[in-house]
Amino acid sequence: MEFRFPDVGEGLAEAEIVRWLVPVGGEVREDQAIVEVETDKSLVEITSPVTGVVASHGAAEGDIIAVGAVLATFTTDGAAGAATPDAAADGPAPDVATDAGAAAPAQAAPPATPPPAPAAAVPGARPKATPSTRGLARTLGVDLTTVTGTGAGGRILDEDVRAAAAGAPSAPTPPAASAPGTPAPSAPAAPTAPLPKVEPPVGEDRRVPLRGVRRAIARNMLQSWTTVPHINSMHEVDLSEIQRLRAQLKERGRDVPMTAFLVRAAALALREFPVLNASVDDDAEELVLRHRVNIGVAVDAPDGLIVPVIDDADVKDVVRIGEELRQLAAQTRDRTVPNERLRGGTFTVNNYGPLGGWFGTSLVKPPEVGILSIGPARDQVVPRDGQIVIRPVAAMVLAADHRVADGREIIGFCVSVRRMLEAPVNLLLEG
Amino acid sequence: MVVGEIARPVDLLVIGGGPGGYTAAARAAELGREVVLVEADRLGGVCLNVGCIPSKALITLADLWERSRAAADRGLPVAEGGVDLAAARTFKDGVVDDLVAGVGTLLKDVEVVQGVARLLDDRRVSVESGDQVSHFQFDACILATGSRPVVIPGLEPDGVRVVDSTGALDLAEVPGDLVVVGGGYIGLELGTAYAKLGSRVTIVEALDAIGGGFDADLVKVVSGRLAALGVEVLTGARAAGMEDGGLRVEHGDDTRVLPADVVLVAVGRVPNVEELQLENAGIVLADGRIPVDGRGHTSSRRIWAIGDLVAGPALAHKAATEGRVAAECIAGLDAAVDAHVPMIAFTDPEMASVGVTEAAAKEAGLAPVVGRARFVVSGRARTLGATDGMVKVVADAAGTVIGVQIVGPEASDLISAAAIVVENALHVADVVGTVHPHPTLGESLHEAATAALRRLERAGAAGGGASRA
Repeated sequence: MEFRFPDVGEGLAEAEIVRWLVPVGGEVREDQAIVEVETDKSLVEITSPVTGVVASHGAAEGDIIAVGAVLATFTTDGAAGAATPDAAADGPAPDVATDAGAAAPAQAAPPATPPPAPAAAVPGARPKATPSTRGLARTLGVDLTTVTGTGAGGRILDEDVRAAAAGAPSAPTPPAASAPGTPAPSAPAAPTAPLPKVEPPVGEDRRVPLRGVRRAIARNMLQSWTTVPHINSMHEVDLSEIQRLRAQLKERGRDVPMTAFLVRAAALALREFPVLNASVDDDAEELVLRHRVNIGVAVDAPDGLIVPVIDDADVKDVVRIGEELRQLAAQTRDRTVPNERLRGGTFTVNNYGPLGGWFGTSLVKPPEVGILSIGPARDQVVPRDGQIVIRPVAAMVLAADHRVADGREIIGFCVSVRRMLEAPVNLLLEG
Repeated sequence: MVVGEIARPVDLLVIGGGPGGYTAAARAAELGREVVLVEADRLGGVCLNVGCIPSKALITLADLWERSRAAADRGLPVAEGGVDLAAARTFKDGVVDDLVAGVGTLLKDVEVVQGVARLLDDRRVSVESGDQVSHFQFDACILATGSRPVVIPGLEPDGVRVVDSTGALDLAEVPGDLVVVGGGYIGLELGTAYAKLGSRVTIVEALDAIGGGFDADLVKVVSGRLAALGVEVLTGARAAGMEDGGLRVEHGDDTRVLPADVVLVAVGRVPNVEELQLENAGIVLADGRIPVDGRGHTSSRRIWAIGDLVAGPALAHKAATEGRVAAECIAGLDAAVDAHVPMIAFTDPEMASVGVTEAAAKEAGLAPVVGRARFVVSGRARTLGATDGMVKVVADAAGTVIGVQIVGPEASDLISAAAIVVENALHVADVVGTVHPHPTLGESLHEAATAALRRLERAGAAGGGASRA
């Protein structure tokens, strides 16, 4: 039977096949997830309408499929004929006297890469040498299969290995015999011993297609880098007061994440500097000043950064913003962020503190104009009122589109954010 | 903002506390690494808890019982009654508990974390324990999660009527009729043990030979003993499913139902890879196993894999060797998995093999020289009342010993001496020139080497070493 790509809501017209969860020939149960598709930035699993066997895939991973197109076909009568492990599946490997357990079950997937050669007892292929001699060969980088043994029955002795190492082509050739009395060239007394061989790890380079979120990020960042002339402004912010306030809130049962304060401070500062809460319309060569302040928050998701949006952050308090952040973080992890929460941002903040670092610049997310980043709080020695004190300080960087914003707005915005974070009472009063 | 917790940095993370994992962890700690070992169940793994060790307790008990009853002509009063399986279990559990505690001692410099580990990417794992999740960021990781018995659809173990090798060690009573599906070494060991304890045993093997790939000369001796114990062996037969009366078996065109109080399924093992989420580290299986190089290194720079997860037989001593090598390589030493892995089976009599067999050597065109010594002429074997079996020494044309196979009393112990000979590429003359004490079973290795040396001499190809004998 044919299974057509269903409308999964949101007025969707098409989606990208991210990953097939059941291969062609694989058995499925009704309601079992068979494929992951990506719509805008949310990932949706499509489930099988029947119990049976997947006869074909309608599109390959990475393809765009339209609603109504054939997504997959199933056979529903062949389930009983599916492969089952046979008692015979446990036969020994032919060349080693093996535990019956060595064999994989009959339904194991076909190998994707050839197995490495095991250290099996292939007669004649083994160099005749003791374990300690083999260790010496490893240390000296000598390939024992190229060494002729001088011991009984052709056994390779330590001296055979040393001789092979000394005669290795990498050893420096002695200088041509010089006339008696000529001083020897100032070479080191002993020939340079060959360095131990370093085994490269098994495997090969892998090509990983850029799909889904990763592809979207790649395209957006290239556009940002190539079309937006970036300007950065860097500041250090004393977080003592914020940390005190967070501790007090926590005592009252409100665990408000640091990011919530940053979102709130940015939202309020954006009202002072509307040129940063804007979009650039390249085609019209116009700056669109946005009347709402919707702050996108960069969240580290399994497939890459995604940026859910806190709407109207300038009229929400930090506790509310904190709760929304928690929800969005959980939904991001589960990849269940509703599409509407991924749209409509007018500015972006990014708290990379948990990752470490100090100053970090970010790329503006077109068509937005600015992105504000903050790093981890670290104890720093700072002067206060003529005294040396230790304070938790974080580095904060605003990156902005220099086509439409100048130092006046950019630095002014950062100073405003810094003041609010250093005297957070302002964050609570406004709005 | 970033989701997720701060991962705790650690030098080496070992996933799995079986013989491979605990050996690797202990060796790495000895070499000064900070090691965390994650174990989902109990230290010691399958081998110690539900495998080699407890099965040997059962096999030894059955053997003692059967031999004591067969020793009347040697002066031993005939034992009456039957064995006490409950007492046997108490003894077995005590042994296992002591050995598990011993593993804990071995790991005194290793932090053991209880939980299920999953790879998040190529340098981080999450460890789930109950509803707690913690994260580690490793410089190196050794995967050592082992394997579990294959389940045949329709013959899923229920612990009562259908059991796997684990369940077979915990039966409440000796079954009247026992059908063993799988004639590999596990099936033969446990089938023999229960036959000695009084079960009527049938072994059902899908291939046309039993013995799990051991040399045919060895298996022939074991088959003879199985017949003497009244064990029926059906080869080329397929277990088709349970019925009220017993196990339905397809044997050629014939279908019959074998009466069975208990069916033991022992048809192989599958690696435990599902929980690890290898795909997060970009590791792709080959033939159901993790591909590694000659040191245990996977395709991922920081990740190593050992034991039943990688190619080769599922054996504790193989896993332990690979664990030691991986730990040493991670610590910057030169090491490689390049040694022969001896195989043993606690059948009756025992089978053991190291290096190549006569058949494999012939197949490789090596013109092997083989020396045999039968235990029937061994004074020690005769006084033990265990004269079935022989030692086979396989040498190449130059006289280097490339394989030894033993079937007979204590073959599992005798093979270690043979392994030293093979691993060090000694000449048969080196074995002949080594004095073996009398009267011992080990003399048979000397005898077999002597027989091989005589053949070499007759062939005029003894090489330089022969004259030293």
